[in-house]
Amino acid sequence: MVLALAAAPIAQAQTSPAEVLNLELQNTDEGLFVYANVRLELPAVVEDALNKGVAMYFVAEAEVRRTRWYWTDKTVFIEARHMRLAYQPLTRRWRLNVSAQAFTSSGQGVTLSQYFDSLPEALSTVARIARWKIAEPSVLTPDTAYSLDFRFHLDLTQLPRPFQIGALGQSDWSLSTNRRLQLVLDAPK
Amino acid sequence: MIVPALPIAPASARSLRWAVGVGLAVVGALALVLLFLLTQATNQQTFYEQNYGRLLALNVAVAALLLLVIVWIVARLLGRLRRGKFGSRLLLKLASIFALVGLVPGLLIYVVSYQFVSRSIESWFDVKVERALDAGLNLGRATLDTLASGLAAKAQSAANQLAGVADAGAGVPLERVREQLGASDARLWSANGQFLAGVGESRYQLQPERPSPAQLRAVRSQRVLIQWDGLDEAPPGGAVARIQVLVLVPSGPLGLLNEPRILQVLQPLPPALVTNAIAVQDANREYQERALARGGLRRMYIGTLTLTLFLAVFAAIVLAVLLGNQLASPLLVLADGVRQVAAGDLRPKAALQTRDELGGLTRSFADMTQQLADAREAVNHSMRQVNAARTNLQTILDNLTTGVMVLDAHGFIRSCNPGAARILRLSLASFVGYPLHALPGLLDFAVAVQQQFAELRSEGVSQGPGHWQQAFALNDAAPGAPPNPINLIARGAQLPDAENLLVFDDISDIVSGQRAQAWAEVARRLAHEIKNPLTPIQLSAERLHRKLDGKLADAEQAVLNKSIRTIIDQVDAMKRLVNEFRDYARLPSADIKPVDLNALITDMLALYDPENAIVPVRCELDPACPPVPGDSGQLRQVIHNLLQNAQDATETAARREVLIKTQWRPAARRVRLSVQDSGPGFADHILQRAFEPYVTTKAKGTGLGLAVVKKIADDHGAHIAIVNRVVGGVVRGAQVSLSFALDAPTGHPDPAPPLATDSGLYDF
Repeated sequence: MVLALAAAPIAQAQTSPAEVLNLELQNTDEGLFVYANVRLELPAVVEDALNKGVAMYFVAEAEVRRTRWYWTDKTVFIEARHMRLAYQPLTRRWRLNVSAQAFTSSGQGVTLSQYFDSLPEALSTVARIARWKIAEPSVLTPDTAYSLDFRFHLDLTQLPRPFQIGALGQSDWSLSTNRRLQLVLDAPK
Repeated sequence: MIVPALPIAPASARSLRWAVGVGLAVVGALALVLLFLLTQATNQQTFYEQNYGRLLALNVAVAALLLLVIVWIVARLLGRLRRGKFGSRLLLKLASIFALVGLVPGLLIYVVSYQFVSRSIESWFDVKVERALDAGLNLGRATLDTLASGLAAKAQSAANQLAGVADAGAGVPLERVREQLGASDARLWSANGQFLAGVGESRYQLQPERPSPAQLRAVRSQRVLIQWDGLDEAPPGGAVARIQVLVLVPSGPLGLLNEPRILQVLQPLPPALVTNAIAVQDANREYQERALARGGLRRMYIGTLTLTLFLAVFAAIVLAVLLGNQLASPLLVLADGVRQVAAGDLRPKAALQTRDELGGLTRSFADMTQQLADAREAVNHSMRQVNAARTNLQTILDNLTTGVMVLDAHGFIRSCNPGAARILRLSLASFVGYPLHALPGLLDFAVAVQQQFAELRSEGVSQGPGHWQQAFALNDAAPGAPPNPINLIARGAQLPDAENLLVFDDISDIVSGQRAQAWAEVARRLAHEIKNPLTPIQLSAERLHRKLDGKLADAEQAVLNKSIRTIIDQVDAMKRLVNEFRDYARLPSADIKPVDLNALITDMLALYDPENAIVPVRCELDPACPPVPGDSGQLRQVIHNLLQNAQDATETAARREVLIKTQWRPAARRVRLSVQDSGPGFADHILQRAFEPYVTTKAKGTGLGLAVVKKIADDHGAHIAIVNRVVGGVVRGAQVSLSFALDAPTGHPDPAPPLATDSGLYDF
């Protein structure tokens, strides 16, 4: 059985550079899958940096918490998807690496690489998350109230440090959005 | 080592100071650690990336804390200054100097560093470098493009050659093509991606890497597709960069093969080229990153610098205040001590137990103050002693019956004691500063005294300090009154500073006492000598009368009788006179017993009843009178003398009245006996000396009556007073009163003989 929970897009202020257009959660026999669509409008400084070959990191996070009336909600798990987007001036291509772990300076780790010829193509791939498995089927207890927090943001901490300092407290560089979904799961059959 | 500026500083101030010191030390250590971390953070990548912001915030917080501390300290200092608290000016000055010393180098370094950082960071990025990198990148790209397009062209011509080759026999032509192109691999794919044939290094791969459907689609539409592999920013060691060209193989002319095929050619790129190109690409990316981030970089450096400056300056100011306090405290202790000493406060002063010179100075100062205090205490002690001695001396002088007077060289009175005033009967206090001869009636005395001093001075030059002594008789009696001289014996001595000391004693009493004694002796002898012949005279007269009575003619008889009576009367009178003299001279000592005065008076008044008395005696007796200790015989004589005197005084008066009364005064425990008359009273000079013998106002009288009364009163310890009764300013008579003490010791020996003066001579 496929259970799909969807959040209707909420009208947000157009000034926000990012917005979760819709968010879906599917609980199937194979696991828990997230489908999300994010509207991305890269700030000019970010786009400029990308065009100059500086890699940018996007992070999509899904946090599932069990609602507790007697206490603060308990985090069941947090799943993250790290995306690294970089322009290759030599080959004039855009390369997108996707990984479950944060990228470290030592290496890319186990990543999936994709190449794009243009930035919009690459960004559309970044902004569309389809069939992202965030949990095994047995993780969540049926008939229990859960909440899903979906966050999408530009990860400045992965940038070179001068960028961080320069970007500190500057709204130009901030790009983040989130969405919450309340869910009660039936037992998967 | 911190010693409070004043010993009276409360303990809370000390603990507060400790707390502030410890707090500052903690904050300072924290600031140093944080600052170190911050500077490290600009160099190290991994650890500080997450915490840089927090570190910065903490540093800012510490700086703010320090700033608060400074504001507090400055506010305190200014408050003290405004309140005019002692030493705040010095402390402020020291703190300002130290703060300046800390601030100026810090500011200098800051300014230089600021310029350096901003300039040098800007200088890293210039157009030339960027252009060079860009050019390098373009060069690499152009080289790759050239290689690729060359390969593509060759591949295209090769594809034309392969157009008519069947799939099964494609191996040989493919090998030829591979060799022609210098490629590592040459493969032939069907349009839908099925492997048809392949030669080259990948020949033995069972499942060669297959072009993606998108690639196949692109090849079909564009006929040629060029792709690079392994030209990522971080080339893995094993992977080889290569050019991949996909070309559409045209359909064969025979039409056998309708479906187009795809020739895939893989040519490895020269490793040197790849390495260089990737290096240029990486360098370019890094340069771009840094160029983009230079604002942040500069902000970071300058922020760190500024924070360092703040921390350093704040720490310098705090240290300045603490050091200033440290340095100023001994000075303040000293200055405060000096101020207190100047104000006369010689209490022990605080001394610092430090080993430096300032501490030694404070200790020396404390010692000095202590010595000063000791000296002053000693002076005070001796001053007190001197004052006590002076007070003693003054008391002695004041209570001395001897007159003491200090005169200067010109005879001006400098000081005198109450005894002098008493003797001279003048209020001398108002004459201090006047010459001695200005005193009324003392001109002769003053002249004589001056003369004596002059002689003493002239002698003293040769014989050393000496004195003179001389007796004087001063007459202060009013003109017309009987003379009443004061006998003085004066003694003079020289004092330092050319002052003269004049000491004199009133010896009038001694003189008159001596006279009285002499007179008493004379009276006794005279009485004895006179009394002896009186009896024979009386007996002879009586015998003469007996023998001649009746034997003479009437005329002679009358003469005889009259003469005999005269003789006998006069002898009686003389006897009485002699007896009185004898009584006075040899008054027996009193035999003290309780005597009821009222009974005594009542008994005696029988003699003064109106029938045989010239003047009636009225009596008012207080029945409450207790018996008084006394000799009834002598008291009887006292009452008799007083009543006799009163009667004598009122004999010629217009209103004859004599009153005797007794009065019990319980408060004083005394019985008062008084006798009043309505006579003319006494003249003033008589009043003063009425109790002296031979002073009398009566035409016939020995002047001994009141003297005897006085003597008996003295023997009984009774007070005796004689006054004129004055009513409305007119003298209405005299009153003599005796006051007997009930408990007073009576019968005290009175060795002094009754007083006598020269005026008594007038009675004889």
